[in-house]
Amino acid sequence: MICLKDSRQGVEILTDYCAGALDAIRAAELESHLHECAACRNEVEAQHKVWEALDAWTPVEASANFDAKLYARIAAEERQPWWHRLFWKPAVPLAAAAAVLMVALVLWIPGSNSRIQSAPVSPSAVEKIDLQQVEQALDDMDMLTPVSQTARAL
Amino acid sequence: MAEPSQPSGDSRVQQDMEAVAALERDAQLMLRVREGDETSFGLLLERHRGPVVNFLHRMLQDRAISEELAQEVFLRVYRSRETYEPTAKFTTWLFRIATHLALNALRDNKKMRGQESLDEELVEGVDRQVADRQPTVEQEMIRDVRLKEIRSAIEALPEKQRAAVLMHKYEGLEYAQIAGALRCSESAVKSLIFRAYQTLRLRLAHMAPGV
Repeated sequence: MICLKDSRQGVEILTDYCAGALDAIRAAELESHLHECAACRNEVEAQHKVWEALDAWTPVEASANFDAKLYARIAAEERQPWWHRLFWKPAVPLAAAAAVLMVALVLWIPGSNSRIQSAPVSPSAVEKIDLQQVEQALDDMDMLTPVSQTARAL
Repeated sequence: MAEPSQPSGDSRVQQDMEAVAALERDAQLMLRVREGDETSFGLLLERHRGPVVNFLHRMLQDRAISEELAQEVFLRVYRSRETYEPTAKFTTWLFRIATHLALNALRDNKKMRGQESLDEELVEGVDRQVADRQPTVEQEMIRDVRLKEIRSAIEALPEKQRAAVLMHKYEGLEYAQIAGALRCSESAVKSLIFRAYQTLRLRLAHMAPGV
């Protein structure tokens, strides 16, 4: 007899069973196996006990003013000037960061007169701001993309 | 020995049908939000507020920070309403944002949970239970100790294992959804969950014989 407990895939099936994620036919097949296999039965029991233990961590209620706070944040954001709100659109901060980077590069081309005439800005400061902006922009872009790539797998 | 059981086939079909209906409903609501319907946003908030708050609470184990981040999740959903396309389950997208924020908070050491906040919440939990079922003092103490051990065991898991097992156990997300939220393959999610449960079994072994 092949024991499910001995293979990774088998253990996943046992986990799915405990989670109630198997369809009726597969669950019945597994129960038939469990009837004969003490090792798998023990595995399922152990998993059941973990689930029962975890059930002790009951859900919390959101605070009573959760929605009010959220709507206040939304309203505050809506009151922002239009150009400020633009910065929540993913492409804008990225473009802005790229533009700043380009300007910095042009100003710092060796032999360029503009290097002498430019404002005394520390290169490390420019670099730091750029990195933060790029990081924020990438985060926003990532979060605002509606999982289009992973959607194919779902 | 009592044979372990799982939900019946009929109830599973019913759950699946409800899940499909919920998927369509969430997508429809979000599309209405995109068209400027504020009421639909309120309905989405009503439906998903609890799961998001609880997921973040269990991830970060700090009530104030988890609520703030949960608001940030819904704020980001609202911000992106104009560009929303129903290309994936709404819940997957929602938990992807929540997971991203939670992992960032953990990595940036924004999580300022200390023993004080843990104790405070345990006291809150006891208060609720006293009102419901009037347990004895000993039962309360046992419950608190068990809860503390569970929280510690979850907290000790690596971040991605923690996120995966919380979405699997408490939020009932499918492997594909968890994979979408964590941006990894389904097989990687199964591996994360498998390892997490193995670790939890070892850590919580003393709580019940056979675990």
